[in-house]
Amino acid sequence: MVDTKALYPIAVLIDELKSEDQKKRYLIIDVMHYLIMTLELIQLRILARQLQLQGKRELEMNYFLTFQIIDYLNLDLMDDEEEVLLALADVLGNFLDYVGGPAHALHLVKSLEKLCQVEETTVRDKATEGIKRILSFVKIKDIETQVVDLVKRLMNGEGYTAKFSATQLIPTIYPNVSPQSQQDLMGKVAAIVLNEMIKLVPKTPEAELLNIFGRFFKDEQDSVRMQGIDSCVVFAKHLPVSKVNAYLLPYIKKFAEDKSWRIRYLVADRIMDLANGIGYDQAKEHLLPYYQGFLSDSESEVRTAAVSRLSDFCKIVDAQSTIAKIIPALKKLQTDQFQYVRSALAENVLAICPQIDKASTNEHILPIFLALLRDESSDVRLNLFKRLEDLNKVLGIENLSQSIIPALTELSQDKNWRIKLSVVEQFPILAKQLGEVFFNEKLSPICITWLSDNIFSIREAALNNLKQLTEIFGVTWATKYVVPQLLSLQVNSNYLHRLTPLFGIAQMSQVMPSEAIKKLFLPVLATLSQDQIPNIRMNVAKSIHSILPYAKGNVELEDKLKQMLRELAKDQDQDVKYYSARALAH
Amino acid sequence: MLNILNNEDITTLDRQIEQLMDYKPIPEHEVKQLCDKAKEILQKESNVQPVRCPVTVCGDIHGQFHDLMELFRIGGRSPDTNYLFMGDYVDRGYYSVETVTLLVCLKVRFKDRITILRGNHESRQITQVYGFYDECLRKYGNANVWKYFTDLFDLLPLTAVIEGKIFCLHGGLSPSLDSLDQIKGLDRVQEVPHEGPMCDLLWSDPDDRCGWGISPRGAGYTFGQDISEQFNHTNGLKLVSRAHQLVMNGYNWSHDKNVVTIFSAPNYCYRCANEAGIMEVDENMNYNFLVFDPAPRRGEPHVTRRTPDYFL
Repeated sequence: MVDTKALYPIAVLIDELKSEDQKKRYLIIDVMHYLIMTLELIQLRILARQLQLQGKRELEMNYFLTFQIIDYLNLDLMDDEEEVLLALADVLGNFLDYVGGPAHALHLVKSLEKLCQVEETTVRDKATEGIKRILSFVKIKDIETQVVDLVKRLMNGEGYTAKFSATQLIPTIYPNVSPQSQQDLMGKVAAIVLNEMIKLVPKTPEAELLNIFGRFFKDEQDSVRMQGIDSCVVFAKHLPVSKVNAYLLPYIKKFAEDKSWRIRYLVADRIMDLANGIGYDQAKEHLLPYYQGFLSDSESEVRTAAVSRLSDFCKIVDAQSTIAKIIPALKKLQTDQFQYVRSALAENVLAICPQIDKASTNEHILPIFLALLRDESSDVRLNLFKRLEDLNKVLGIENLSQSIIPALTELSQDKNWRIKLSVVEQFPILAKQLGEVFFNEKLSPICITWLSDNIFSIREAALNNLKQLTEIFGVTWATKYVVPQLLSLQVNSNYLHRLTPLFGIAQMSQVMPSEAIKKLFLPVLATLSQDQIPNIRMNVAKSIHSILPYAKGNVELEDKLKQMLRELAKDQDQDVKYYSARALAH
Repeated sequence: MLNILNNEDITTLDRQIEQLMDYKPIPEHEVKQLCDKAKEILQKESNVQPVRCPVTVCGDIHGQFHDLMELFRIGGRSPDTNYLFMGDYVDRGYYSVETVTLLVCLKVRFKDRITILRGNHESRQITQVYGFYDECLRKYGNANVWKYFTDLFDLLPLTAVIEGKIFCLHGGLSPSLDSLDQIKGLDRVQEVPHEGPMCDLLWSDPDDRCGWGISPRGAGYTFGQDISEQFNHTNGLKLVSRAHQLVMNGYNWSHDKNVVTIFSAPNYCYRCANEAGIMEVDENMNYNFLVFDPAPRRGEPHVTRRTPDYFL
């Protein structure tokens, strides 16, 4: 009866979906959008005629087919691999247009409901996301019973997976249903949706919420109480100030004194969010004592979390309190037994310099800085340099060079090359802060040493530094203090080190005038283009390739570079040849 | 020598290399084309492939692609730095596909700048047990890519010799082979056999005891200092450089500096806490060892104790 040709694409689709090969099934779901559209255009018309359904709108036929496919998917794919289910959940959530719009939304929701119950979290999340998206296109009131039933079914479902999905759906549904249904749902609300619900204040009776909140706080499990802290943050944003003080502050205080360190950690970590919520005046009065306590907490994680919030927290308390209450605790942390606590201190302590005056910085922060500068861990010392600017602003580094230079020199030779690399990368910033004279005297020699490091990445970063330093101190400086040292590497006996001036020439040409390129770099290129090692000749060609744009306008230089390339293009080595020809072609 | 690459090949290879460096495998049909090209190149190479200095010599990688990238950060990029890899690119690590594809791409693109030898894991049988086969299946949905590569592995040279002085191979010496000429005479284009000279080159280990011994691995032999000295003397060699064994400091001398072991997979199998090593041989045949730690992994925090255990 039905023309087999017209049904062929559907048959293929179904066949592919039955395939043993997971990859194929995955792909077919992925392209389903397109397949459906193809059907609409061609086969559908034939199919409709064959089925003598001409009277029906062709599009509806299309929906019919789509449902066939979806039903098939529902029946046969539910036990499939995560990837396939994930793709399916994604497609269904975006499928409203293909099933005939909002009127048919429930059909899709029904399919997604099954996916809301599977084991894999990613699939469930996609499925609930899909339902939410679909519901955003329909009037929930029209299908209130079905939707509320859906949530109830999920709530009563076996295992936690369905329940969890239900909690995700409630915030979307709750505001759009009748008071009766709201109450119905409210009874089912699990702890986890509370935060979402609080955002609905004042639509939700706050007494009800606070009641649930109270239950949280008393829970035996600290993992449940932890949810309470997040709720405090959300609550604080949505309640009027008077109520924050009356209702929330007591809870926050209890959390800050909690016997479980994980709760205290969380309070320390979220202290700025809490402070924002209750207002800075309140925070200064009520949170400062707790913050002080966190800094000397018995648990190192709590201390780390607190010290990581140092700069922000000090901004909301006055300088006097910082000095009296916070700094004494910091002094103890400088000898903390855990390296990561000291690292966090080193990274954050200098940030408070601009907030207290110069005398206090000198008196309180400088000793901590100097102590950390001698820390046994290179990571701690390195972190100090990340915020050196803050100290510099207040005290001026010139006064500190005696202590800084030895520490920097030592770090610049650290046996861990990544520490060394971080120091290399700090140098241009230091150069800006310290000025030319100081830099030349103390730091230029270190920069030059790095050019001959035996780790390639250090050499590369050192070259990048030369370029940046030239931008800071100018071409005359570079010509005098770094270029000669760079170019002298052309006679190194190891080809890996003869490559360095070539890489350097390519970099420096971006910031040097073409006359300098001609005078300083051209002779080096000429020498190295005769090198016995092909890798060197190949990199002469690559170097010239990157210089050429900067030689434009300097006819003599351009000619000489191109002449060199023409010679290199006759090389025995095929790689030298290739890169020379490529440079010439541009 | 006729250049087998045209400009289009070069553009394709450059793009593939860039893509792989970005941790993205190349499509199946491209792997096929790549392996076809690689076969043309490798079949022209000798069982004892002559290599010019300067060159940087590396040991096992085992699919630790992040650490191969680290190796290039330490030793310099290919082709600027010449490399010689002594086998075991696949298995164990999670990125065997990316690792072997990149190395083969580099070989095809810069055949004079990189040498890749065969390790005991470059074998159909071993890769079915230790991960490469499964990884191909997982990443491509079928075993074709595994087949292309394992077919290519049959053509990889067994050994190389740098300037006639440093003999490089994956495993070690064989009681059936006294000279480099005998190795040159082997028919290498086959699956690694269970025994015999070709198997020994890929499986043997140096040992403190003199003479030949039975290998606890069940393939190859153990060989003593007397054997290494004799072999180096007979063939006018200075050094046997090999990989195959985990060494905690990245490299390890044995047999009174007649043999060096180089292992380039740091924190092997993500748990051994070993350093990796490479050996830079310069144009005057001086050598220098560099050792390095695992690369920080993407998305992994620097400070391990930062995350409280409530996530667990």
